[in-house]
Amino acid sequence: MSTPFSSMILDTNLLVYTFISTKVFQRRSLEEEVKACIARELLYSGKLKVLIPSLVAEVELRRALSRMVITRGITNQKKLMILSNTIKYMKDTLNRMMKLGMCEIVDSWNAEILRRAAGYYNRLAGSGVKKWAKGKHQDLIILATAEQYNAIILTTDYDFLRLIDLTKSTVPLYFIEIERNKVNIIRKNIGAVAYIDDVVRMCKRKDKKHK
Amino acid sequence: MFSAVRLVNSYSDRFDEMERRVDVLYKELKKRVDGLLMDLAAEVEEVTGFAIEIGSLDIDLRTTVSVLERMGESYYRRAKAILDEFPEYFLRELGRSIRLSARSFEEKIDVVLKIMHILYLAGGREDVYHLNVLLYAYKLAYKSRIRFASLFVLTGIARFLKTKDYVLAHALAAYGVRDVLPLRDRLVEEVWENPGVWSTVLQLSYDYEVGSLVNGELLVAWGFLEAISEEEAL
Repeated sequence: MSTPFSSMILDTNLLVYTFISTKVFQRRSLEEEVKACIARELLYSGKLKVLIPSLVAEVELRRALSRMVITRGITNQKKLMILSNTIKYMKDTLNRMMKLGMCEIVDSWNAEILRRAAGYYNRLAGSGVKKWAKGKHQDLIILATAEQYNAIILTTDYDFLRLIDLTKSTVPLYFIEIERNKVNIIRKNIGAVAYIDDVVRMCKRKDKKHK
Repeated sequence: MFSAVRLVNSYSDRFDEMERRVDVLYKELKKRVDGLLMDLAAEVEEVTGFAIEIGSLDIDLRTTVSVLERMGESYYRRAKAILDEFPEYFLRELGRSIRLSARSFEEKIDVVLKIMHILYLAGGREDVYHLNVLLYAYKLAYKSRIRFASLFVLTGIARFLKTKDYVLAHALAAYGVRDVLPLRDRLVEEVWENPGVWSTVLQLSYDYEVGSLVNGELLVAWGFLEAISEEEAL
């Protein structure tokens, strides 16, 4: 089936695998293997342009790294230098991908997107999950960015399914469920996109072979 | 396989010293390559009837490619001999600062690439990154079926060492290994028409096969994936 969507947003938990190969992991879980395979295949094959909200590119990755530094007590000067340059290296890699048209960093700080995100939040608050919604502002911005750019969201985070249901958003969602050695695709607001399904199936098979 | 985590944990206090060794390597490498290129220039003059200086700014990419494709087998064998010494030569110099062991030829190249990438991350020097991309191309040259693949890589290295022009240097090297680049589907124009794209394809192939391995090893050992999950669980 052909799709009217020409771009997709990879959720942060998938996007990070663009920069991280699991080949050298001593213990590889099915989840890590499949996530890494999907993210790298989709991004590097470049059949659908990957949109990266500036919130993710500029804030989320740095925030996760700083959390790691603080909570794991990484204070060695050289290690800190390596981390600081790793952030720069990731940014350079994204720039190279942009040069080849594989991805685009899109501004998630414009009034239209923030207004949409606030609208989603109000819908959530109105449906009785205000407390939960308060911690989801980043996901709401990703949702609003996808809506603004008519992009598919691809995620392994269950929260997005819930967000779509509760907000009644029409944003197309591909949720990849990885549980107990099984990989399922759950779609919302979109039919099967052969290209994405093929990548997921291929990654599933690859992992079985690896095991 | 040599572990990036172990390298950082055990030797991070020697990184500055190792960076200085990389500068020594540059100089030595430049001397060797310059000698070979002088001979190449003489051979080119004999074949084509005009004098050129391969690797310098005075020659355009299209001419460089055409000249290299007309070189004789004996010259190619000499260029390859210089390249064959690379891993051993790098490991010997870096081995003055750290304990290293690598058995096979391929393992030696992989160890060099890994160490150089860590040095790039530790010091942030762009020239180390660009040279490392060329060393990666050199590794690919062993898999490539392109005639004289190594010669294009060597000329790319020469160009970089001489002019610091990494775009043309990477483009030349990418041309030599175009059949084995992971992102070769993106190469639709001739190298002299759009060297920037060829250069970027080589760099991204490096990021895909080398950079992400080192990142993966270090970041996962330091708890990055857990940090991402914790952020999302908030």
